[in-house]
Amino acid sequence: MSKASISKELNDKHTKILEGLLKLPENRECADCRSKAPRWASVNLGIFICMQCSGIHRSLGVHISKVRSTTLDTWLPEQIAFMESLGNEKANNYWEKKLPLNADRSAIEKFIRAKYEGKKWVAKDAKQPAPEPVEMGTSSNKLVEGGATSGKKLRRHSLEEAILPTHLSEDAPPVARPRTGSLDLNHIYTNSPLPKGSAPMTDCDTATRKNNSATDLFNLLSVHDAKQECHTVPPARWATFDYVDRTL
Amino acid sequence: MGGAISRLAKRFFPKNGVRILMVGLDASGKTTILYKLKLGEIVSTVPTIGFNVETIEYRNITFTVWDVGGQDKIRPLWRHYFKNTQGLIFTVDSNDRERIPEARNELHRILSESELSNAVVLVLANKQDLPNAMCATEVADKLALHLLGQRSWYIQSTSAISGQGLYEGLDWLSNTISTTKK
Repeated sequence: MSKASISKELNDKHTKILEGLLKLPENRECADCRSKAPRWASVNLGIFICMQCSGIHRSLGVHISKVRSTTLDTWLPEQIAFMESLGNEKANNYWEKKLPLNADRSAIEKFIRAKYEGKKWVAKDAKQPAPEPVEMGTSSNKLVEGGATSGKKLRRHSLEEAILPTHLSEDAPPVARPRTGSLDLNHIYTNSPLPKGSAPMTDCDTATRKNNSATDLFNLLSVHDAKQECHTVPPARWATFDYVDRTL
Repeated sequence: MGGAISRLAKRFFPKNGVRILMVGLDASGKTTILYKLKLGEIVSTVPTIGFNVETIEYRNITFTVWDVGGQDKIRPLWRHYFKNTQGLIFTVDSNDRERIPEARNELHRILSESELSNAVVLVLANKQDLPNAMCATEVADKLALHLLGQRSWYIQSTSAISGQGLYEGLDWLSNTISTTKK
């Protein structure tokens, strides 16, 4: 099944199921750093994680972790079924079996790499819970290719382990970088790509436009931040730029 | 003061400015590429909800690169960035064989839009540092780039982590866009 064939009804159903799963006590904390209210997931590991940890998971490569947003991605039925069958508690029962109770998770990238790439705390002889290989074509190690949705690949654990040393040695310490609100955003206004007056989320739009006395952009941004209750940031931000465009 | 203003003006209205839009499926490496080009460093990224934009000076050309989030449900927002785009960078996770058909569909979908009819296309077959990555030829084949017909396109294998291939891609973009202008 491909994403294109997911009807709105099915998608709504999936959203409800995911919302339900996220309310379960074991899924209320990120499977890795334990911060509250994770909204991202690894669909092949069967865990719910926070946005920060999702960034680290994405850097591992899809042969280790496949990250999806519970709100911004379309899910396939088999992915939903796997999340239902696993979740943070069962998954960690495998990945953190030998992890000491008071383990230090502060160096979270190292922790995640050791946990999933290095399988550092997996019990000997334990079998990794994996999604059902629904479309597995052959038993050979060659990857299945072709067709729009086929191409589930065999997991090659020996390979994953083999690449670990390379990854660990290559990795320079990451530079933390504030993302949104970065100064670079400040020069966007002059060439905002949005068509005027058609910001996708109109409710944010009106909240911003009301403030017509403001010429101070930063003031505007903070007012807007306090007011806006939309979930997606970009349209609201565009609406702001749109407004600024008119006043400049 | 005057200097600062002219610097600012230059930044907003670069003489040799080229507007580049970078899209691709989520987790294909767009943001990492953008900041590798801008800062020469690997930054740790989180999924882009919205966009990042940076100007990159290279070979006397100012590239304004828009990096737009790739999650499934925010892809419809890409079209808001199409206008005046001279070059489209489409990044692909060469390690993600399962989703290459999805990448192909997205690429051909956006290239059918009239606002991008004059844009040249640079495909980055990224994540070559990962095991089992498809080579550029295989990616080109799976993306059905041969169907692009008259349009100028180029595929470059890259590794954002090492920086390999990134400037070769920019070289092609600047050469191609400057010839197209004449």
